Amino acid sequence: MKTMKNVNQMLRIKTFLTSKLTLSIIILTSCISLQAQNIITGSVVDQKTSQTIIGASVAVKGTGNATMTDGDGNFKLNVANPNATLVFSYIGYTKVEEAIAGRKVVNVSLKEENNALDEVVVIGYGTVKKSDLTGAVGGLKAAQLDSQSNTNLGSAIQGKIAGVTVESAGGAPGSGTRIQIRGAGSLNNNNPLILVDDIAVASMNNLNPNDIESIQVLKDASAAAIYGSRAANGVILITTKSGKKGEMKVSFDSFYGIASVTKKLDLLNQEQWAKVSTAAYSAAGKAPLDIALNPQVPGAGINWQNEIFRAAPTQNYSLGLSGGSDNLKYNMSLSYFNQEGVIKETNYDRVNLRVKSDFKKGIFKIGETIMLTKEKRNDLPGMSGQGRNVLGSAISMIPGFAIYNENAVGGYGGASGAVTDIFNPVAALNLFDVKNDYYQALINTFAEASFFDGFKYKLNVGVTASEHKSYNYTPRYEVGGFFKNLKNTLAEGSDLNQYYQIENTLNYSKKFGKHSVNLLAGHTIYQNNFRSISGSVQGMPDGIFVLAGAVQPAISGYATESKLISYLGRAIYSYDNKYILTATFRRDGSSRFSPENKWGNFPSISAAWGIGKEQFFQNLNLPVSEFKIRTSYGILGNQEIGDYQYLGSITSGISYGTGEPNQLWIGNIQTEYPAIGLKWESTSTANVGFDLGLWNGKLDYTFDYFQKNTSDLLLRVPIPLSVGSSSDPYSNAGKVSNKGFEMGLTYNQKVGEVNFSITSNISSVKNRVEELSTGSQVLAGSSGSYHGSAVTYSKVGYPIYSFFLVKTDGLFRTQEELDAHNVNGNPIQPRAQIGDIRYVDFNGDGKIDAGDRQFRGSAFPDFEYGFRLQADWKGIDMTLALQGVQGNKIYNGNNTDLATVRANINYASSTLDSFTFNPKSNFPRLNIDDPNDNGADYSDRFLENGSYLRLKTIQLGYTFPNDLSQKLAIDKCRFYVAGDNLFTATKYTGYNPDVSANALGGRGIDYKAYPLSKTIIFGMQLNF
Amino acid sequence: MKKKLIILYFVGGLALFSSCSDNLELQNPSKVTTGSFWQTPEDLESGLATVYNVLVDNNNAGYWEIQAMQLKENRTENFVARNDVQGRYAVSSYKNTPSTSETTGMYKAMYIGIFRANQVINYAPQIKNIDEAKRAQIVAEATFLRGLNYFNLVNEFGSVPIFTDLVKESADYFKEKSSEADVWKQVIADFQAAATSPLPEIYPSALKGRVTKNTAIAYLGKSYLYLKDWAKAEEQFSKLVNNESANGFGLLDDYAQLFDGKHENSKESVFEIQFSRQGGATIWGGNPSERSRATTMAQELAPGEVGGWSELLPTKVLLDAMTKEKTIDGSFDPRALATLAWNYPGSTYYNFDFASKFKPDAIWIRKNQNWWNNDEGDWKSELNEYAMRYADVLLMLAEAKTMQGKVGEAIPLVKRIRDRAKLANIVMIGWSQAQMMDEIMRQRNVEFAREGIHWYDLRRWGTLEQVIKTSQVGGYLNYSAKYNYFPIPESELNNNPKMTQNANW
Repeated sequence: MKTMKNVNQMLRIKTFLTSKLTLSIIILTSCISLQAQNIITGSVVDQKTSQTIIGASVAVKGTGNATMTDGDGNFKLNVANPNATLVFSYIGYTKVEEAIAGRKVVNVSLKEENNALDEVVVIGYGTVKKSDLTGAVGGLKAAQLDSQSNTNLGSAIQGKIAGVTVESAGGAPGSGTRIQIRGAGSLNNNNPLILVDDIAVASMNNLNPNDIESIQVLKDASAAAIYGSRAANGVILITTKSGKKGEMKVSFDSFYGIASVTKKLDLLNQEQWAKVSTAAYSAAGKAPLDIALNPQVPGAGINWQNEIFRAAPTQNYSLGLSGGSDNLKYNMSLSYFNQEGVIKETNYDRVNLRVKSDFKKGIFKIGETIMLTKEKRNDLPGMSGQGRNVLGSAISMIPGFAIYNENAVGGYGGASGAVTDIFNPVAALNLFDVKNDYYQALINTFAEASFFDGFKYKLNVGVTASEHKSYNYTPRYEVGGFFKNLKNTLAEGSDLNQYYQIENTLNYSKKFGKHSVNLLAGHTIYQNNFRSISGSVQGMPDGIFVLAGAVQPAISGYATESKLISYLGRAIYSYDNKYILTATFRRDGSSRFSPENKWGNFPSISAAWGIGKEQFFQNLNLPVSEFKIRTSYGILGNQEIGDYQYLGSITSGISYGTGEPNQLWIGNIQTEYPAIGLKWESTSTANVGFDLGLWNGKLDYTFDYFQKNTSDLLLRVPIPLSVGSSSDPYSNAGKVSNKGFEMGLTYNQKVGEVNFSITSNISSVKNRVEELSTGSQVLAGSSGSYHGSAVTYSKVGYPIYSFFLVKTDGLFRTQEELDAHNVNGNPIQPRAQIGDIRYVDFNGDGKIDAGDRQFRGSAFPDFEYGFRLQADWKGIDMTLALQGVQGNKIYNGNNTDLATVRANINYASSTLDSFTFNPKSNFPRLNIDDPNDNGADYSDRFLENGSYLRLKTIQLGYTFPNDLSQKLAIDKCRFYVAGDNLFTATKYTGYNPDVSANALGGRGIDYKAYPLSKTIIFGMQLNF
Repeated sequence: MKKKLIILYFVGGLALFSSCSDNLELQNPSKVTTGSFWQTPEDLESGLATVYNVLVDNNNAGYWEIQAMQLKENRTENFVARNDVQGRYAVSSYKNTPSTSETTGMYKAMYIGIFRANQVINYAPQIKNIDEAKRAQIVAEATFLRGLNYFNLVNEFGSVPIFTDLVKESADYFKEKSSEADVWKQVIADFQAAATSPLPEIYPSALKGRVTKNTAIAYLGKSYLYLKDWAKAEEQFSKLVNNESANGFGLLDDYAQLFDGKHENSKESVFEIQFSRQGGATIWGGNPSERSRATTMAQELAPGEVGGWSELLPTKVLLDAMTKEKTIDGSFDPRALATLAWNYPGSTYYNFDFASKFKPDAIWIRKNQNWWNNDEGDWKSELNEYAMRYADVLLMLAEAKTMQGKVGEAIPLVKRIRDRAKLANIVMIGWSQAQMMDEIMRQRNVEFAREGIHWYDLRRWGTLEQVIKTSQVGGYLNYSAKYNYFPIPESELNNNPKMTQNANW
């Protein structure tokens, strides 16, 4: 049945497309057919500057007859009826209607629309005039994305919207960003709901930034409540570019860039390393290591960082077509993006094809967005050894080991003997082949019917299919003394996720005098089906790269399904554009909860007062063009847990071997307890704010203060180990609050021939865990060292996953200091000597251990901010985007290896200035046995200030003058040079302070992560 | 045409809408639920397999897998851990804390075993169409394994919570701990149940490795021995030794055969933990069904010179203990040669001449290493671990007798161990209890080195502190009596409000 439906739907879409194509051709032909008619000419200029406007649309009202102004702002149009009316329009200008009244020449001047509050803003299931908004939203337009130098949409919005935190997800090509809106409310999932042209997507990473028309972020409960249970973390509405009426426009954008790592860590060369290692061994009364005495590569040895990093090219090509008539509009784009990683052998490429069109006929309107995406990633391989990954190995590898060894299978050398097992990173990059391919088809269609007076019914049917194919090949190899793989191994996997959505909405919008109402009711169904298979073989002959030749084959697979059914409603009432009231309600039913807890209700209410429109206010004669006060309250939900959590289930394949000869005895058992009585997580948000426009919209200022309280946190609360559950069941386990404010400022000005626009924002969130499960519960987060213990913990009264570490108090410099560090005459650190670290005995029990951990800060900044300046002068334009965070902490996990001389690996250059060599140093003495635990990973020695200010984007462009472009028959030709991440001001000593985090508990922990890169880009944009 | 399309779209959409039921009760397509499982005899028997699985599963830190095996030995005077695997090194040098992940993993794995055993015991009565003897046997096996987990818990952690049933409500998750004596009562009760069950004394080849009635009797004896209830210990061990041939027990002639991979599940095996290349290809991670039933223990302990990770390093103290007494013809004790590799004339190791490949003062492990190969290959070792050997039963019986003053009765038992090691036929007649205990202690140290029982022997003999301090091995300066047991893990304390830390910690 289901497949039948799919086929039907596909057929429908296909027919629809075919008919559309025919139609486009007809329209295009009709544009060029000439008819002998009355020719009207004229020019369009800017009312204020009298500069000509190129590309303004000139249409004969009520017909499909239209044209555009040329490079000189002139137009020519055949108009049969000398009494017709011409409609002049241009983006950002107020539309003008001018009757021809028998004239042959019609010149008009257009007035710039600089009142931003009259913009139409996309909200859920509809749009609203910005002046009618009652909730907290933030948005960006295409131009503000700086897509000419931002290859990833997340990075393009970083620092540009108040309250939206964008963190890098690592520097690996294609790895994207992680987004949080207004802090972290949940201990489980803090990803906002992202919708692209009304269909939910898992991530915005695979979108082409150049395809985006606008981004709208719904931040408070009022704005987001219409999305109910999925909206607790905010909603991001992405609208892709639509066609505009007019003849077909072609755009071609391309750029080429070179990326390089922003910095390299300062590590030892072989001679220095031998000195440090030998000193540490001799301090412990031990003989030096072989490799210190007899390096394979003498002198400086190998600089392993140089061996893995490279200058990496990035290139991008986008081709766009758009145009349309009154009834049909289309926009299509095809783009290719390729990014080589700054670590060799890694790369990412992406092809996006997008078609968006809509068609009107009478009371009906139908349209669709189709996006086909193919991504391919060559990722860093996983590997054995304590280097953990390629980067970790490159920084830990002793410089004295050789890269190559002709005699070894595979040809690579590596660490051997009495040293730590670090895998040769060059060998790993070249031996292992790790590929991931992602295919996604997103098809969203809608049909609308407008009837009676003000009613509109809309049916929206959308499908996405996402396939991920993984490939991981390991050949036979011997790498150094520790790593040997005797058999070629291949693992492949394939996942398919299918998502369906059906939304029926009915809208009623009407104005009665000064009253206006907008009502919405709807029913929606979302369904997700996921299926995965994976397999592996071992011991194939060389040269076989498929899952063939069943040698030790292993296969596995699983599937999940989930469904969400919802009823929604919204009413917006406005009186005289001054008093606005919005009420929203959504009822969601989710398959993820047990029958008695499936349904959740999510209401919100909000109000706004356009105080600036009141007579008394206007009487004040302030330069205030708009002043509106807003307030809202609402409840949102979160259901982002896995499926079937309320059911106890049996895990199979937990087996044992018995007998002579040994045979597999297959085992099946319940390994974990199900979630008992689990219900929705809910977040209530209260928001107050105001919007202020000054000097006729030249300056816009928005301020919001909010309090967000999340309760019934959905969380795998650790249950006692003694229960024997192999993982912890979900429960509703606590409360978290986020309080904060955000401000946004926009200023547009023109000085002489210089136009400039400044946007800036600042936001601050205070996050606090209010309650956790049993009260005394502590949740351990992530560790920042190899085999290490957690450094972040969630505790009541502190921000989520704060750093709890033992405080260091400098070094012991004298015997007196050593002696003084005691409790009742018993030394607190009995093994300490002069030159060792003094730890603070926080719990006063006379010893230093994990019990002395104390709050030492968190990864949450005190505030974060962004600043963007755009200016142009004649043909020259300039963009500058800055972004920063202040007051957060970073745990520099790499230093737990590099700056502690405990393992037999390479070390940081700071060890050369340790107490052992320089008694004035703050770096403790070296001793390979580290009796005082100077290198203990639980100390705040590795915690650093994470504040930074970054020059995110700088772009300089030149647009050729019109007359020159005209000769080449092009509308616009622009060349630019840009820099991405060129400069970062920070005290942080690791690769980059924008550290990636895979999990909430790992935020602010920098451990062997793929470093971010900086890129210099050259590009051009052509429109014709 | 367009109109038709539009109509088609709406009609199609409405059809989709109406056909999409509001059913939100979705079943997991990948897994059976608890409600539909536990029906057939096969379900029950497959449940039992998972209780064994936990003893060896690497991801659950099974008690005979790499992590726990290394922790059992690396805190004795006989071994030290390599210094860069933090948690293991911490235990080895007496710096471990309640948050040490290795001991946490050990604790967790034992309770996973208990949870699984409790499921088998709890659901057994509802199984249909099952032979009653079979049902009783499976319950007995599960009960023994539960007891074994409590035995390990009380030996490693002391006083811990006892679960003998499944949790029904979330409030039941939080249990306070029982006294050490009560945990021992549970151990005895579980072993006793299996020792008096319809379990067979001996299994045919195809079932070797599974718990027999004799396994349960031996462990019951061992528990009494640990509790210093010498008479009851003697009673249990005697059941096996008095009917040795009927029970199929005995000592292999050549000690080295025990660890050569060709004599597994022999007559000397009382409870043997099985490793093989059965199962999947993965060593770590992956789904349970993808995991190999082999162990990486041998790879972890092999020297760097042959690509091993040298995680557990034998000490000079151990070598001295093993080479102290020569055989009757003046050679090294065969147990020394089977346990350790060092630089003696003609010594070969991993097919290398020891002197030319390894450092002159190096000491490496032979026992349970595939040292007759060139290296540890793809890291997967099939060599079984002995949870209990018959030689252990003989020496424990000798000890139980000696401690009751029946020194003379212990002589033939100790002599069998010495004879197999080709040691001189010394005169033991007339030995005092202390003399005999000295000999038993020495023999146990040499006989079972690397098999993970020495620490617990030293502790129950009360000699732990003195041995560690005089050995001057590793972090001996850090040692204090609190390290005799592991602390209750931090994550148990954090998540269980009823839990308290053990004394000393």
